This record gives sequence, C-alpha cells and structure tokens, in this order.
Amino acid sequence: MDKPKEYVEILGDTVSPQHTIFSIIISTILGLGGFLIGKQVFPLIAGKSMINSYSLLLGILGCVIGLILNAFIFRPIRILTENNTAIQNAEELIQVLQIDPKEEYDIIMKDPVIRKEMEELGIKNLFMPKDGELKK
Amino acid sequence: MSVFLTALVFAIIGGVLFSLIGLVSGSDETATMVPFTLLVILLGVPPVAVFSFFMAAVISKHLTHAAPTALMGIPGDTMMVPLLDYTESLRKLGVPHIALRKMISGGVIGAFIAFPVSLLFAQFLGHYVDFFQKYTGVIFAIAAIIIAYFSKGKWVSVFLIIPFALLIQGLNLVSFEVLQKHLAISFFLGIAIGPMFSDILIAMSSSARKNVVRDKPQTYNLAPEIKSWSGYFPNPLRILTWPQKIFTSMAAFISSFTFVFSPTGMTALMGEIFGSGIRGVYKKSTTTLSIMNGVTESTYIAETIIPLVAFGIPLSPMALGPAAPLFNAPPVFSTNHNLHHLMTSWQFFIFGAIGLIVGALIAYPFVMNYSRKATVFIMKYVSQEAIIGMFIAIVCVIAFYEGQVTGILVTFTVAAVGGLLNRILGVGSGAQFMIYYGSAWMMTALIGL
Repeated sequence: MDKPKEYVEILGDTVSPQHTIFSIIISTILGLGGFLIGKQVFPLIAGKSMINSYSLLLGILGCVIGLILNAFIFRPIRILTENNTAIQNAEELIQVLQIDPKEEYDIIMKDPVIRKEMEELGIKNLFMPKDGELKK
Repeated sequence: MSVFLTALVFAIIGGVLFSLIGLVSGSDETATMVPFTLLVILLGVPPVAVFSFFMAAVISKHLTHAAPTALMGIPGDTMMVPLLDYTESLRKLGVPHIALRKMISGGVIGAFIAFPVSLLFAQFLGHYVDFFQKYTGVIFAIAAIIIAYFSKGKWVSVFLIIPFALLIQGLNLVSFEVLQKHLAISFFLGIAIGPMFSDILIAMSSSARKNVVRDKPQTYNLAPEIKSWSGYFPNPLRILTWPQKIFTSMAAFISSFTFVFSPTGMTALMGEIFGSGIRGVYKKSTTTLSIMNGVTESTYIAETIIPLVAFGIPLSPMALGPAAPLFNAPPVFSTNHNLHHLMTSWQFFIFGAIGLIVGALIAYPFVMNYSRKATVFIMKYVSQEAIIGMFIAIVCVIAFYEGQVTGILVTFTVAAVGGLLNRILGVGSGAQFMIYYGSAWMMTALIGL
C-alpha cells in the first residue's frame, strides 16, 4: 500500500484514515461472517445449547484472522527508532533533572545499598564532584 | 474436565493474552478487558474459571504494561500516567531496564498483598450486604453523582446524569419493543469503546478533524537493551531494596481498603506520599516506581474483589470498568445472580490464587526476558489500524450475539454519545457505567417509567 499523505491520531497513535476504514470493514465482515456461518453450520454438528457459544467463538476467530490479515495489508505508520536517550554529560543531566549534585553525591555515599546498585550500573560516579569542589 | 483444570487452562489463556495486550501502548483497560471477559463468560465457562481468567488477566496486563512505559516513555495505559516522570528520569540516566524491573517487582508484591487483605476486608463488609441490596437503586444514583463529580468534567458530568440516563432508558425501551428482552452487554460495550469510537468520528468529521490531523507519523524512541541478570527467573524480592519492599507493601496494604477511589488517583497519591521524603534522583525514582506499580495492581485487585465478594453489586471504579462483566453479563450473570452468589469465600480464595499465580508465572519472566523483543515486534509489524479494526469487529460480533442488528445499533449509539461526552466534556467511562446502573431507578422516580 502507498504511504498516505495525511495522518490522524486515534487512541494515541497515528493512523491513515483510509486504512483504518478498510481495516474495520475487513475485520467486521470476517467477524460477523464467522458468527453467521457458525449459526448455520453448528446446528448440524453440535448440541443445541452450545450453538451460540461456538458461533461466538468462530466470530472471534474471524476477528483474529482479520487482525493478522490487516497487519499484513496495512503496515504500521509509526516510526520506531532505537537511540540511547541517556544523557552522558553530567552537567547537562544535572540541569535537565534539576538536581543538586552535591546532595545527590551525599545520598549515594550515605546509602550503601543504593550505592552498590548504582555502581553495578556504572552510574555511581555521575554526580561525583570534581577534586576542587570536594575540599570546600 | 475437572473444574481445577478448566480454571488452570483459562488462567493460562488470560495470562498469555493479556501479557501481549499489555505491550500494546495506550491500550485502554476497559476497552480490552470487557470484550474478552464477556466472551469467556458467554462461552459458558464455569464461574470459578472466569474468576481465575480475570485475575490472571489483571496481574499480567499490569506487569507487561510497564514495558512501553519504561522503555519508550509512553503510558502503557491510563494508569501509567503518574509514573511517566520517574521513568523519564531513569531513561535520562540510561537505566530504563532498571525502571522496568523495579516496577514489575513492585507489581508482584502489590498483587500478593492486596489479594488476601481485600478478601478479608470483603468478609467484614459482607455483614452489611442486606442494607446495600435493599437500597441498590438509591446507592447507584448517589454514587453516580459522586463519581461524575470526580470525573474530569466535574459539574458538567453531574448535570448530564439525567439526560444520559434518559438516553439509556429510551434505547432500552426501543430495543425491548423489538426483541422482547432487555439488552445489557450492548450498553456496556458502547460505553467501553466510546473513546476509541469518538476518535474515529472526529477523524471523519470535516469540521472537527483538523484537531486530530497530524502531518507526520508518531515517532517512538526505544531504549537500548542491557541485560544484567543471569538465569530465567529473577527473584522479585531481590530486585527491590528493603525500604522499597516495605514502602510498596504498606502502600499496597492501604490501597486495598480504598476501593471506592479512582485507581489512577490512588497510584499517584500513594507514590507521591511515600516518595516525598526520599532524596536522590535514582533512589527516589526507583522507589516511587515500585510503589506506584504495586498500587496499580493492588487497587485493581481490591476494587474487583471487595464489591464482588462483599455485595455482588458494582460499587467501585474498577467494577464499573474492566470488571463490569463479572457483575452483569446477561443471560449468564446479572446483579442478582453473579460470581458473588455462585462462589463461596474459599472458592474466591483458591481460584483467585490460581489466577494470580499463573498470571505472575507467565508475565513476570516474560517481561524480564522478552518484553523488549516483543515490544519491537508489535511496534514494527502490528499496525494500530489492524488493532482498531479487531476491537470494532469484536464489539460488533458480541453486540450482534446479544441483540442482532438492534444490539449493534444500541452499542454504536451509546458509543457515539458516550464517547463524545467523554472526550469533549470529560464525562468519564466510570460515571457513564454508574449512570447506566442507576438509570432505571432514576427514570422510575422522576417520570414513573
């Protein structure tokens, strides 16, 4: 399918309006179709009390097939990137998170459990003051 | 097949299904849990197995919804919104996987504390069941006012109680004329998919669509993978520090009693109260996240169990949302004949435990080991269009099952009105469910319907 030019936001994600309409039509036809076929077929092979339940199940199966089919026809529009969002620069980090590096350092030094966790993650020394500041 | 085996099978189905649904970012709890739970009930599954299925679904969805929240910074569902600030801090520190591990470990602890506590509390409240059942209509009406006031729209929601109740009873009368029976599921589904349906309607309207049109696709940024534990099943108790374990347990314990409050509100409140005294960005973020996700589990479990076991009538936001079918799913369940009446306290305990344990055993190692891969798969190969199509189709099938074409018409009428009221005026789904329950009494009292 061609890439659409315009997108709309539905439930927090961008979709193509045309694709959405077609997807709903395909899924609904398969779902209701499954249910109605079940209503015709199951009286021949199943007990009377189970006809409705089995038909419902066939209808839902239709919906799931619709999901798989639509996932193949309409590729996702969303863009997935895999960048590291971590900020490596300590100064920038301190500014973005609005924290006091000295206080952070004190807490890390006072709490051995947290210190060990951060050490294992390699972020213990992120807020370590420079040599000059330590003596103040 | 023995009933235990059936319960086990349905707990596994619930656990696997909702582990996957939890990964779909932004998946609404009510819109996803109501149709599938209804389906299980309508298929004639024994009540105890329905309960196991539901408990497995709750715990597993609330463990896997942590993955999109921690790894991409988008809420897994509405309950995850209060957690975003803290996952963002840990993402900036470069340790999003720690956010994820702390969250789901907190979730497991929260679930296993809330379950026994809420069952015991329900036993106690059960002494007042006669009072509650005698005045059900009035209680629903009063609760509708309270819940409406606490929804986003505040006074406008209160003001719209009577018009919305009239709409529901009007549709009820019309469908009774045609079908000679009362519809219930069709109304439920309409309220549940309202927000999704109203988004579609807005996108179709040539005057309103400019609000939802975007010129470029949504971009998601996934954090890189860092695996830092060995083996398959990391112990949740060892991931949290002692203070984190204690705070999470206390928050889960407290929130097991507050079953009438909004789960999202309790999550934010508990996290901020316990987290407020903690200093240090890493320590505060990890502790708050484990507490908050613990509370998302505990409120969900307590808000389902307390009204269900104590009264059998839906008196909590959860019972009016995702758990609604456990209270009312004609022709199988009604407010006079549902799990409350069909199960003993011991059965609630045993089959609830089966659901929670199975759900945790599926979802917990799954999130720890595969959540990132699974998230990438869903983001890359399953389009939002296909997901929307599936939910609309499932709703059509179930509504048709209940009331043929009339059922479908009722569902989409309620979805259109309820969804737009929800999206534009802030009349929440919980308030709409409550109005649905109170509407019969209100219309009898007001106009003698």
